[in-house]
Amino acid sequence: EEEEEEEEGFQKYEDEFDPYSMFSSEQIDGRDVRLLRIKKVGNLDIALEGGVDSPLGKLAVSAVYEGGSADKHGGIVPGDEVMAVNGKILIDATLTEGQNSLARAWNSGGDWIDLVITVSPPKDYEDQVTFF
Amino acid sequence: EKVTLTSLKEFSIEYFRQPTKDVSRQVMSKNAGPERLWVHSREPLRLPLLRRLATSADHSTKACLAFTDILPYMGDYPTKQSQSSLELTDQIFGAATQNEALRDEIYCQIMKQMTSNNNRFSLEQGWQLLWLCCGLFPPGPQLSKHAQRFLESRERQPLAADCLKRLQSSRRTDPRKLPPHQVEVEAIQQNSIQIFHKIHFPNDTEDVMEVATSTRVRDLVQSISEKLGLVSADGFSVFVKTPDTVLSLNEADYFFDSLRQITDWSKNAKRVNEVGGPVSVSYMVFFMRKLWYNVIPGRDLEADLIFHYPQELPKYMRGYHVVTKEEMVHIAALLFRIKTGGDSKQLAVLPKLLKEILPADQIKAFSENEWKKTISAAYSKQAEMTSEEAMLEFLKAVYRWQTFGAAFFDVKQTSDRTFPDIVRIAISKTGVAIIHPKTKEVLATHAFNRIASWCSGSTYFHMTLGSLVQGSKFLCETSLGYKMDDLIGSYVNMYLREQKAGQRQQRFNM
Repeated sequence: EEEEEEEEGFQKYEDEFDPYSMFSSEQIDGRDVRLLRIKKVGNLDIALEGGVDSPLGKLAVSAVYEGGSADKHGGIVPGDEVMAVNGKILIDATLTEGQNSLARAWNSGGDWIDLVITVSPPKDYEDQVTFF
Repeated sequence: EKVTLTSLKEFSIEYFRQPTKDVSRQVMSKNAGPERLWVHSREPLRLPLLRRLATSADHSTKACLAFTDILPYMGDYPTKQSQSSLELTDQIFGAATQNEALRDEIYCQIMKQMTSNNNRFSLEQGWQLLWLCCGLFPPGPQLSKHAQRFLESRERQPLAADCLKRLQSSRRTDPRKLPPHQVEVEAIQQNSIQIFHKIHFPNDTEDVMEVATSTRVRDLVQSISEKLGLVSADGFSVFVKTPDTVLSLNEADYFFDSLRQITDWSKNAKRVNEVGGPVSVSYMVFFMRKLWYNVIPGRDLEADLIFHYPQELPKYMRGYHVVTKEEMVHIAALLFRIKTGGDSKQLAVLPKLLKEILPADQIKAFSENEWKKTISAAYSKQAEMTSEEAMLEFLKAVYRWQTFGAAFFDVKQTSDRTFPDIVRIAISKTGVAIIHPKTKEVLATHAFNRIASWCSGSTYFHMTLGSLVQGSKFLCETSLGYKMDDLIGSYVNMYLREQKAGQRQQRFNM
């Protein structure tokens, strides 16, 4: 166990997390739900978009800024859905609620925050090129 | 002949604050008069010049910060770090473009530094700042006549006349939203009151256009069209290409504001905190067709060769269109002609050129021999023609398809279980089509007047079809949502404009 903790910096997801302990099968819907532990250094530096009251219907990461803690952690990328932070479920959160929860969690005590996300699968389609 | 130069002395009596008591000065010389705020100084300001700004801590801080950048720009203060001119002008003008309350302060600070300034270099730099300032926003009503007289009394100075022109112009148009672009700063530093920018075209040619501080994007579209002799400027737009993306500029904005918005956005997308100074983002300005309505090959040969052919060719090569074997063979013969300059000896090595003359997904549809046989035959049957004629023939061939002039986006949709996960969206003059990426079957088409609403984020695009009350939704995952959003918006606006013009015409005819 101690060895695993030392290697935490290199691990993207926490192994012992069981998403079904937090969410129903319906909510998980066969997707890859993971727990990330991000060390609080400087700023988290992620941007969110969407929210339950938006056309997107869920909280998604819209940007991960270079050099921030999330970027350094490496386990979260644009497109990932934010499901919970420090145990607080965000599936039905609006954008403002989600942003506030993240900010509160980041600024509260403790050296880490726990983020539960749904990993967005790698894109197997051409997503970058446009011709006008 | 001595000319009396007007200063802000009169204005300062009513509108400037009291000079601060500077202990060190009084110690130095008992006879030193009170500080004259409207005259050049090498000392940073501890308070803004304008009395009315004192009530706001925020304004006061910003005002004083601006002055600490005016000093090094004019060479009046040694800088510890080496800051580029652009960094300085960003800081001098940035807050004032955001905050109307600060505009007069900046004008006053610059004119102050140009008053009783015996250093030629410093004064020249001051003129540059004043010239830039006059192009951004007008001075307020009380300051206006003082600024006018300040410039008029210096009419012999090289930049005075142009400053007066810009001042007059600024009173009649909207203020700029952002501080001067690097290109503008560089121009005035080289004593050029004319600003030029390189414009690239899709056929790999380029030109240089004059762009003024107050040139709007739509003005630039118009002047480029005129310079190239295009039949119409309709549907053309200015784009900025950065390492990440290609974005079209907003027609209504000032060109330099729009340019900065995009390059700044591109910069910020990479880092949140701008601790260091501005990072230069490499970019290219393109002029090309954005909206493909009223495009008939042959109607405007210049446009066909410079824009339509180079823009449609890559889409054809990516296999976006539904094509028959005959069409492919016919087009391959044309492309072969264009690529080899009509060198029929190269028919012998046709198999090596297949990937340059056939859509990517169709090369394996037939054997190399079959292609060679059929394309050679088509080539021989074709009349002799120049490369340019062949380009026109290419356009005539692709013009026949529904997907002519469309922009394509591959996305991951989550709304319709009957559609595949990955679908291709085609946005063209006929509306939005949803296409199967493998079979190219058109799964659904939505005319623009059937799209009730649409929106996008960094990771998605969404539209509501039919009526808002009884419609269906389409949601998809994509990084290009903003582009789809903008393109649909542009087509819709175009149709609304045509509708209004048609209605006006009808009323006129009645």
